[in-house]
Amino acid sequence: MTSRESGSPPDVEVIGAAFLGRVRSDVAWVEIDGEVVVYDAASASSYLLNPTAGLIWSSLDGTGTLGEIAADLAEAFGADPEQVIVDVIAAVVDFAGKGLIEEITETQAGEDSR
Amino acid sequence: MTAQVDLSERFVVADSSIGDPLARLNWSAHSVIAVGDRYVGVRSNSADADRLLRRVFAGHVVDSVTAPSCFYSLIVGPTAPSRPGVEPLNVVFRVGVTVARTRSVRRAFRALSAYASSHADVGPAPGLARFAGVALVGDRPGVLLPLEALHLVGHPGFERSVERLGLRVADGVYVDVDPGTADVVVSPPELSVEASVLDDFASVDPPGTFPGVEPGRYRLGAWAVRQPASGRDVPSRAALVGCGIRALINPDLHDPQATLDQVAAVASACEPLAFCYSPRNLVGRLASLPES
Repeated sequence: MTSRESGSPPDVEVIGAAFLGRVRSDVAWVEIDGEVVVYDAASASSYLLNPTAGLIWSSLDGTGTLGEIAADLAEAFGADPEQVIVDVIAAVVDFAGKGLIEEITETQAGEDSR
Repeated sequence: MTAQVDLSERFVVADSSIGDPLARLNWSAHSVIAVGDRYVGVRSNSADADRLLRRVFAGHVVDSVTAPSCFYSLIVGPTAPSRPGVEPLNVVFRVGVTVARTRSVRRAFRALSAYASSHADVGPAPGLARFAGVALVGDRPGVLLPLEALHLVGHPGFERSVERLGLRVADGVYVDVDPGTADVVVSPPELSVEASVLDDFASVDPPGTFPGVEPGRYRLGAWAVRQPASGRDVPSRAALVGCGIRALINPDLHDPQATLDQVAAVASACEPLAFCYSPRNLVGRLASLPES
């Protein structure tokens, strides 16, 4: 049996198309007029995301890998998938560098219980 | 770090660490006033001014404490021969910043009361968001300004200019806003004045003098921030939210989403406005706002 477990902050070196992550649950964000404002109360930091970064941000719900997110965005906007995945990874590396997201790792429940 | 107004040290409100920019002026007397659990030093340009201050804040004067420095400075009454029939200029300084410049003694003391009240360790009423900033309010929709605009409100003619636009400076270094209605909520000052003492000066106030914004609710219509370096004329509402979250005083860290939503609600109700750092530019931008 496989369960999903939220892990520690991701290592930005390994963020790629297979990365599965989500916005930290204690990070607040709001979309207003197409732009996203992110508020990390823990570090008392706020960030203003442009519409593209905001779209990527709002897709980081832990249900799809970056490759899947990029494919969806490429299809929705008729963009080059190879370029989109580069942009998505760059944005997520930026988010991770600011400590705003967490990686979801797949672990064997049996291993956890040993 | 989220902007917080670090107004004072514990118990004694100290002067600026950058020295005393007003040292060259002649200060004849000083008094210490208790505001909440803080002691605030106020120096005056004359013994008469100090006596008047002690009458106006009679219930708050503390003689058992000596202020190491004065956070506020007050010029009341003539400092030089003035024209016949023209009341002398009264000035209130907060550290080195002119926060009120008026020919009305009542206005000067009410301004001092409002600014000094900000030292009381009293939070906003439940449900209100407190921003470090300055509000211009009136019968028309008001404007929320960043705290740095405090340096503009004391410029000669600034108050008169905004009054011509139907706006008045709500004295203080923070602004309480009801996110549900985008109303600026002006509360009675913690440092109360002896109204009967100030009433004696009503008859000599210049015509049309406004002594200060009365406690109440005032609709907010615009939120102004410094023009960004990018040169964008009008900030986005998201940019307002970013500025607002940094200007929040004591945000609720237990529920950051609710905190952010409050700020976003205020931004959504406001017209974004950018201004360059000059009183003239700010007044010009304010004049461009709709009056209703």
